[in-house]
Amino acid sequence: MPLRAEAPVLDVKRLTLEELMDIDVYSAARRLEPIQGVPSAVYVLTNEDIRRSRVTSIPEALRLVPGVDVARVDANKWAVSIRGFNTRSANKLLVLVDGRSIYDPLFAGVLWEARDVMLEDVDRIEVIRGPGGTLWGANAVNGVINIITKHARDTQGGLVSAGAGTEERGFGAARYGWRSGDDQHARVYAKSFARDTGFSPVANAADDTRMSQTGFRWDWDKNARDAMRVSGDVFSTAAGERDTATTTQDVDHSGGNLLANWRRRISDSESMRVQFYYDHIALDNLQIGEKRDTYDFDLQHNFAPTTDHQVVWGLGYRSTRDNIRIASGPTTVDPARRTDPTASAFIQDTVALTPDKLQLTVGTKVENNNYTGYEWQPNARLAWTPDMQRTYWAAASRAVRVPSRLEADIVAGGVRLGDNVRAEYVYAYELGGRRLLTPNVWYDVATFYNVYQHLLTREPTAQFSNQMHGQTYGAEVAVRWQAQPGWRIDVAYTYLQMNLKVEGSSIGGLQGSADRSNPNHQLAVRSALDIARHLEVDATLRFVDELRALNVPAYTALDLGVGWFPRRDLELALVGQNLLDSHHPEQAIVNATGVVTGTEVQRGVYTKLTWRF
Amino acid sequence: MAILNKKFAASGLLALIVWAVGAPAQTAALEYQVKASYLYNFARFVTWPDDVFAGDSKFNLCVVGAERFGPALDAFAGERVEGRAILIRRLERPAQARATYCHMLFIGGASGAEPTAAGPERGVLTIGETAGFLDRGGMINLIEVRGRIRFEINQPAAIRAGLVVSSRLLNLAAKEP
Repeated sequence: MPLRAEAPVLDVKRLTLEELMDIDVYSAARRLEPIQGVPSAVYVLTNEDIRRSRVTSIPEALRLVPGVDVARVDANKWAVSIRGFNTRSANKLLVLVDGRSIYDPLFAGVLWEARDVMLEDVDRIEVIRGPGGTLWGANAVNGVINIITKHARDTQGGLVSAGAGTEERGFGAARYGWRSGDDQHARVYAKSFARDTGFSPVANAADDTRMSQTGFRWDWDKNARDAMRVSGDVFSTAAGERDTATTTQDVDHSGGNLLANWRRRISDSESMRVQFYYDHIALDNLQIGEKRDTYDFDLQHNFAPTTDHQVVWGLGYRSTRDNIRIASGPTTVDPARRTDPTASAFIQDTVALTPDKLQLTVGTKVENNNYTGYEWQPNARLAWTPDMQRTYWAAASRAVRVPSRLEADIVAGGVRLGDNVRAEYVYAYELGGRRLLTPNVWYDVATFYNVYQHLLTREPTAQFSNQMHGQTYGAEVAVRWQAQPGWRIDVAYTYLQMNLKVEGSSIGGLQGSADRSNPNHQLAVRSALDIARHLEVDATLRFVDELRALNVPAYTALDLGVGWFPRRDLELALVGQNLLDSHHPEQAIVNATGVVTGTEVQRGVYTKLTWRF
Repeated sequence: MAILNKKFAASGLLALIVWAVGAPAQTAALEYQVKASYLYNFARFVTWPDDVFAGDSKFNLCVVGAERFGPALDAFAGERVEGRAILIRRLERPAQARATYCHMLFIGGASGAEPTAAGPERGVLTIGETAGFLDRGGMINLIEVRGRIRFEINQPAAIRAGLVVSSRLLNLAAKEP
């Protein structure tokens, strides 16, 4: 297997008590990154990374990840994508919370304003750039974001946090975790926030937000063999927006989910997992309403047929049933109710070509969906790990994006716009490497060349077609430098070029695929400094290139945060965000009626108190 | 697959791809190397009443619910404390401490056992890693303070068990807020 089990090379045995007291068990472990042997472009944000970045939402945390483009559309909406095609409905990125998809199949994208977690209970966010279709299935075209919450055992005790500020008007969260029985742990949490509007250059911004969410998680580690987990959340969001030149509205989101899984470890090289979840979401505004119920069943099995092979295979079945309401007018969705089952199977084998040095991974997924039938998503990956410090990898893969419900079933003026719509394909070629240069410095470089076929376009008749083709290429660099035991610097640089052509009679593609509608260059530098034993100073400086097609100029943003621990169970933070200008745009969103609905990001200051007990 | 299986209890999807589970496992490994080293140091800076060693030439370092130590603890087996070689003894329940003649009893957070589960035992230094361990009668508690492992001491409880904690240890202990 590519991962190595060796513990950090550190002789703690001979250390004095004073030296022991000074070892940062987290940063020292982080120094041992990058993750060895992984044949893919992977970046992991830990809970501590998120805390020190002082962000208040998942999309804001993702700004620190190389290869990810995060653009705030208005005060409650984000456009998040990997390797191009960024719009509010960035449809080539799959996002999962503990294995539960939060991709909305109606709009094809993630409605970030209504998909939240308690940040303090996030264990880590794993971002995989490049196709993930073999393991995750359709829509993981350009990447997968995996938000993983902590095991209930790791959130024992209480946590209460509360804060207020100029943009983050008020927010609070509380969690309590306890031992619910032998080998059983549980937690419950609740959070709520109110966020101010952004800045609108043309009219009053109405994009303030109120959101509340509560949930639980229960883990039972019955023995070394069997483990179970049950969790659930319910939420409610009111996200304001401007819908016409003169009117505004609150979009109401609500929903909930229940997830259960059971894992069995059969031997050191064999394990099985069965997972089921149910997810309900509802969205309501003046123009459109969506109610959706999703049932998902997933099974996977890992085993080693011989010592050189590690096989993982799985089966999945998902059924999503919706009910779409559209305000009376020339545009409708037909049928208004639809149930879409998707069945899938995958198998992947990792072969050790030479022990511990060269590994080949080959696999494919086959999926049957209601829109385009059978889709194959194969990949092949090679990892060369000459020593513990270096990993080089290469990969070739094919991934698919299935049309969204809206693309397939929208009817305008009696014409079905999506009757000819078909799947989009990418053939991705990737090359990368990562290296631990010294015990305190590592870097990770990934490059890609993607060939796209049949990207969605529009005809002069307003009907959809798939007439855009072309290539994108780019590079992503991550550097981590532990300058001193209490000072860490992270750098992320992203370069992207897109050469896509519309062919035939089509007049254009989706906003994010237009030329110069994604930043060519992005740079983020983050510093986390422990200035004294009880005082932390954090800074993030970001540059994002212009989006010429959208008239969004390049911008530079600075966030500063100070964390003070007056007692060891108490943290007081003072944070300034987007300090360099009073407001700046990051995306331009024009709705179907030609109204600019996006707003600009404003400078903000907030303070937050966290108490752990 | 070793790391993969250790992280087996963590969320599933990643286990599926056999990727990127390295960092947390390594964190646990280092955390417990540090904690193991603390146990050894505590043994050096605490004095036991002579009679608890009668008839036994070993220093029994007992642990309950300490699977996360892995082999880290074994590195200290055979080291000498109070002139006696350390013997690492992994117990299933704290109640076995008496029959095992433990001198030191580490109660892992995962075990969920109470600090006093071994009974009011003379000459047994109890060490924990859970919030409230001292309030419930434990003697030394390992705590995490912003990524660093520190410890707090309940000196009266140690005195009641006939143990003398050196001033060096007392000086380094985290003070109650």
